[in-house]
Parts: sequence; structure tokens; C-alpha cells
Amino acid sequence: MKLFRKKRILLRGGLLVVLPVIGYFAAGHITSQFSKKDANLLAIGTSPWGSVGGCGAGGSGGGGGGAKWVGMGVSGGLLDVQIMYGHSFGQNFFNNTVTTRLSVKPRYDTQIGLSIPVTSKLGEVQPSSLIQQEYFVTGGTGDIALDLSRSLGMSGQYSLNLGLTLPTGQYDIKRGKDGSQVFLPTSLQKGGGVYNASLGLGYTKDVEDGLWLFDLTYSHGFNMKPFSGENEFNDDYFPRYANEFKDDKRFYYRFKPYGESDLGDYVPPSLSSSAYFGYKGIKGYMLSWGVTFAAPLQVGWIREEKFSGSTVAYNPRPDPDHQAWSATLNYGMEIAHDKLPVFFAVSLPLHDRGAPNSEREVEYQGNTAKVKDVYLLDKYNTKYFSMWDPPDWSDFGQQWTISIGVKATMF
Amino acid sequence: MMSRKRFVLLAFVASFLWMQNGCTTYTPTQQPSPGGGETELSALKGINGDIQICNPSISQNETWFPGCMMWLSLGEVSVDTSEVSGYNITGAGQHDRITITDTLNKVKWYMKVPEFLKGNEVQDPEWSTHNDYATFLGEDLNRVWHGYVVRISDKQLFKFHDGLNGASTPHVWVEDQGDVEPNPNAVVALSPVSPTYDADRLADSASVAQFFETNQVKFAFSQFKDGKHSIYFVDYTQPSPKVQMLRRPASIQDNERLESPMISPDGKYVVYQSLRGNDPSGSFVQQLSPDAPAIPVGPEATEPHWWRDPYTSGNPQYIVYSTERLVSEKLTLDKNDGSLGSTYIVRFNPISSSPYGYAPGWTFLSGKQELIGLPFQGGLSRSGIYLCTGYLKAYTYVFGSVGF
Repeated sequence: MKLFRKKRILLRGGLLVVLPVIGYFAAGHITSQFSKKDANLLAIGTSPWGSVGGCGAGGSGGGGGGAKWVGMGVSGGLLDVQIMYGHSFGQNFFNNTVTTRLSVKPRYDTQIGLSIPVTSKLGEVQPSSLIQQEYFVTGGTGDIALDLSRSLGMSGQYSLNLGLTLPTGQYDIKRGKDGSQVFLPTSLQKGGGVYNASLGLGYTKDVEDGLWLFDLTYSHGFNMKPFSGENEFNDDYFPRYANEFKDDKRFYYRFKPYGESDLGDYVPPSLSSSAYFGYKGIKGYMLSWGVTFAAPLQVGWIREEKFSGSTVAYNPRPDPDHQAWSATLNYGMEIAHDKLPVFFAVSLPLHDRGAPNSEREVEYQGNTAKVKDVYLLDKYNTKYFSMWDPPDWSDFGQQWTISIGVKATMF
Repeated sequence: MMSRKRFVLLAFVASFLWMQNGCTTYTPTQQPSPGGGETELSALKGINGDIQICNPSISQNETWFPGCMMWLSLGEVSVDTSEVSGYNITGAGQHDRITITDTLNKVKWYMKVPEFLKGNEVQDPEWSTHNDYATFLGEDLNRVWHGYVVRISDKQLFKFHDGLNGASTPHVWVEDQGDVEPNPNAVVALSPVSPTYDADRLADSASVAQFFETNQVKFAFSQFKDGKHSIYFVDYTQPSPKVQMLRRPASIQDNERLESPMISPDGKYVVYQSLRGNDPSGSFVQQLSPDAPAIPVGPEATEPHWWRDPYTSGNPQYIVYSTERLVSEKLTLDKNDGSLGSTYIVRFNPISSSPYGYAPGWTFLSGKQELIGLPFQGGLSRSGIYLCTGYLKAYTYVFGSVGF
């Protein structure tokens, strides 16, 4: 008990110190990053989309990066409402997302939810190394998600979670003058263009003054056009392909058991897991610390971006920003309230160094030879993409997500 | 009786396994490009069944490999193997073999990754000016690339450089002799000649002379040194050969890569291309000496090769180049209008009064002609009647007579 008393004091003090520090640091970080006038400093330049931020936290299809509400919440009405605002930012991008989740409990142990995200994104894009990078803004409704969870076990300590994301968000946003348009990268699109089903298992363990939460989730993309039976862009972008490749599932299909969009983006299946500790030793608050980890099981692919006149080649390639694994470190605080609890969270991603975009070669400085990595020339070479590399420490601390949410129950 | 907890766990694992095994056999691949079809009788011959290849290089041995091209497969292969043994179609790996095919897509010669590279990749095959040699790069287990020569007739390998990179695109000039007949039973093996390597990681001249049976040998390659990708060469005809850098063209920036050097048939000049990122930014020709200035072939010229005219007195040399570096569209004869890129030939006119063979302001390139309104990047055969190209699609083209 002494231990916990000490912890309480530390946590109470810590709470007062940590939040202003995080706020100050985050605000300072934003200012410092976006006050850099030299765009070259912002562009990474290893690939046409290498300068685009915003895909670091999730991995392809992974589950990292989002804030998980750990707390008591509120319940009792017929309809539960949760509104979560998330602000993600990095060196050359920021995303604002407001996600409204409506849920009902048809049984005491079952919950059905509907999540509707609305996003506003800004990011730097350099479609070709010969073209100056530019900032683009997109925004609107993203991919709507349905979820079903059921508690199991003697005390409801287990939960089985099913999820389904629908491709309702636009994913063919393009910019540029007629004849020289480009598709914006997937990180600036509002949707992913594929259905995504997930199956998750959760476990909660109560301990003195707190609880542990563990999750393991498998996500699997798929696509379908049950009525039209064809790629939705056959007429707009791919008429030549549609005429020639009548037997190719990329242009004619009713169901594809894999996550390939109609533009060629491929979202691989992924495994993600998380572990959180929630501390409820301070009356009126629930503090939480957690780690999420996600790993795609294959290499993600992305579309061809550059148009040729009014059409674009169907020419997908491995995603140069693919990361073999990603993780997030999370801190959250719920301010408990019987009608309107509020939740704050901060997430910090950490990820694999990514596809190397390089091969190893010998570099000479005078007569001294040393081995180093250089630019990877073959863009279809997936050899190094799926390798697990050490963390990319150079990007650690360069991207953050700050979330604020409220919950209410109605009727 | 199984507990509910165990049932849920088992159901979860079973669902995961089902989804993994049942639904993830799909792996994305490159999409072939659409286009019209040409007939079997067309002068345009498709190679490797519309599947991507890399590094096409036209035959320099028209006695034993007429109308053939040397190329590197990306993975899947679709060729006629009726004339060779041991060439597997299924299970072909990425960059695991160098193949020579004729205009009917028949494999006439091949070389799989040698055993000592432990299953790693080969890269950038290029036929020498000599009919019986080709250069390529081999990657070792430490992901370091080395420069090799293969003697085509007996598949003997010689490592001439012990530390290059995956884009070094080497080329070897060897004083040519008559066309050599390949041994159909040859097995790929490292030559018994064991060179030593100097501080520049270059094979010693005695070993080079022993392998090639002459010291009339020159290499050119791209190397990353002092922060720049430049063209380097080594001249084994000299008593003390050493690696020397070609003077970089004045018009290009430090971050532009110079690569794909090709030494001229007379061994005196080199032509190469420059790249900005993956985009071509021109080609240059230069005397094979460290101080010679670079002369632009043209800002649109990419993948330049040499052609020596065997029919004209003095055997003048020409540069053949494409205006499109990577052939990603399906080529058809009805698109022979330059819309997908063109192939040009231009005569090289050195002057004897200049120490470098040319001088600023001198019209050293003349008579530029379009060979065909389609992009052929692999060069013009010695007879002047075959062209080859390839990337997403590969082709040879057969002129009815000399191409211009």
C-alpha cells in the first residue's frame, strides 16, 4: 500500500507537470517545423512520395496511432456517443480528424458501433524529382466503420471484436492542371478504396487501483463490386485496359479476397496488438499508458500517380514508404464525469526504418573505401521492403498525435 | 467439455489461419500495358511473352547468336527452352539468370547466378565489344556488388572489380577476334585465374591478361566517389593500369548520376547517359582519357550504344540512342510514329588534329537519322539489321536491310 500511496503522489504531481510540458513541447514543435522556409529541408527526396508525411504511425493496414479511450466512460442510455478529435502532425503534414462513434447495446454483453470520421489534411507532395514540392489540402468524410464486440468470460474479461471498414471516402483525389494532373498520395486521400475486416480478441485484467488491457487484432482487406462487376474507374482512367484485359480481376471482378483498390493500391493483411495499463488511483481521473504494435504481413503497393493526358497507367508498385512494423507509445487521461467524461491522449509513433530505397555499395573518399547504402534503382524490387529493420530513431519525436474526446449517453 | 474461453481462443486462431491461408495467396504484380497486337510475321518480335525484362543488350556475335539479345529476367520467364537444358520456367527468381534469346524467343544461351554468390542477384549484363565476353554485376551476402566478366563460349567467370554498386553498369572493351562458337555443355564456374586486388579493388593486370589472353582490355563503369556518381575507366593496355575518373560534363549538376558507359569499338571513346533521379537528362561522348571534355550527344538521348559500320571504308563509328529510357508500353508497328519514343543514329566524326579527337564547335556528330519511330534501347547489331529493347515489354526488330 505504501508503494501505491507513493505512486499516487507521484502521479498527481506528474499530472500537473506532464500535461503542460506536453502541450508546450507540441506547440513549439509545430511552430519550429512549419517556420522552416527552406522546403528542401522538408523534402526527403528518396522517392516521389518520400516527402509526404503522415503514413508513419500505422504501417500498411496496421492499427497503430489511434487513441484508445481507457477509462470509465459513461453508459446507461439507449445510445452512446463518443466524439474524438485527433490532430496528427509531422515535419511536412498535419491531419485533423473528428470521429463520431454511435453505439448501442442490444444485450448487456454486446455492443454495436458505427464510426464516421471527418478529416482535414494538409501535406507536402513532390510528384517528380523534377517538380518543385507543393502543399495540398484535402478534407471531408472518410471511410465509415462498423464494429461489433461481445464480452465473454465469467466477469466479461474477454472480448471478441469484429470490425468492418467500408470504402466510403474518396480515394482518387487528384490535383494539377489539365494534362498534367497527379493523384495525391494515399496519406492525403480521404479513404482507402477497400473494405477491411478485422477480428480481434481482448483481455482485461483488474488489479488494485487499475487494470490491464490487451488486444490482438487481425485485419484483412478485400474488395467487391457485386452489382457492376467492374473496376469503378474503367471508363474514367483505364478505358484501354478495360478493353483489352477482359479476364483480369483488376478490371472486372465481383469479389476479390484481398485488399486491392481500383487504382492499384494494395493494403496487405496485418496483425496488431496493444497493451495498456489504466491507473484509477486518483479520484476522478483515469490515467493510462500503452504501447501498440502493428505489422503488415505483406508489402503494400501504391498506385501510379502521374497522368498521361486524361488517363493514367494502371501501374502499381511497392510502396516506397512501406514499413515492416510500427508502434506507438501512448499516454491518456480521462477526466471522469457521470454525464460528460472527457479524454486527452498523446501518441508518439516509432517505426521501422522503412524500405531502404537503397542498395549497398562501396563509396570512396580519396583512397578510403567504405560500404554505404545508396539509392535503390528498381522500383519494383520488393527484396528489401519486407525486412524488419531497427527503429528509425531519426524520425522518433518528429510526429505526434494529440487527441481530445468526449462521451455522452442519450435517451 | 471445452470451456467457453478455450472455444473463443480456438475460434480466433482458426479464423486467423483460414484468412491467412485462404485469402493471402495474392501478391501484387506489375500490370502489363494495353496495346494492339502484331502478327508472328511482323518485323517486331515480342520477347519473354509480355513479361518484364531488364538490361537488353544486342548480340555482338552474329555467327552464333544472330538477331539475339542478352537480358536479365525480373522473375517470371516465358521463353522457348527447346534448345537448352536446365532452364527452369517455374520457380524463376528475381535477377537470377542472364539469358540470350533469338527473334523467335528461343533461349540460345543462359547463365544462372553462380553458386559462389549463394543465391543472391546478378545485375546489368552488357555484351562487350568483343563477341565472346559480357560484363555483369554480382551481389554477395553482404549486399556488396562486384564486377564480373563472363566468357560466353565456356561460361568462365572473372571478377575484375571487388567493390562496385548495383548501378555501376560496367562495360568491357576487348580487342575483337572472329566470332567464337559457344560450348553447349559449358557450366558456369569461376575461372581458375585468381587475381589479386589493389587499393582501388581492381584486378591485377597479369591476371587480366591471363584470362583474356591479351592485355588489350579496357573497363568502364559508374562509381560513387566523393559524393558523385561518375564514370571511371581502367586501361589495361597501359603498363601500370589504374582507375581514372572521366571529367564530368560541365553542364550537369553534382547530384546527376552518370552511368551505362559503352566503350567504342575502336576502344578510344566512351558514350554514357546522365540521370536526374530516375529521369534521363542527356547523353555524352568523351575520349577515354581523364582530361578530355565531354560533348553532349543530345538532351533527349538515353541508353546510347555504339555501332561500327562494317560496310564503309574506314569503318566509321556511330552512336545509336533511344529517346525513351524505359519501354513501358506495348510496341506495335502502327505506333511507329515516335509517340512512344524513337531510336536515332548519328555519325561520330573525330578529327585527328585535336588531342581528344574533337574540339569545341566542331561538328563531330552529323547525319542524325531516325532509325525507327519506336524506342529501342539495347543497341543496333553489327550487321545493322537488328535492334532490341525491353523493360515492361521486350522486343527485337528486324530491318529488311541495313536499318538506314
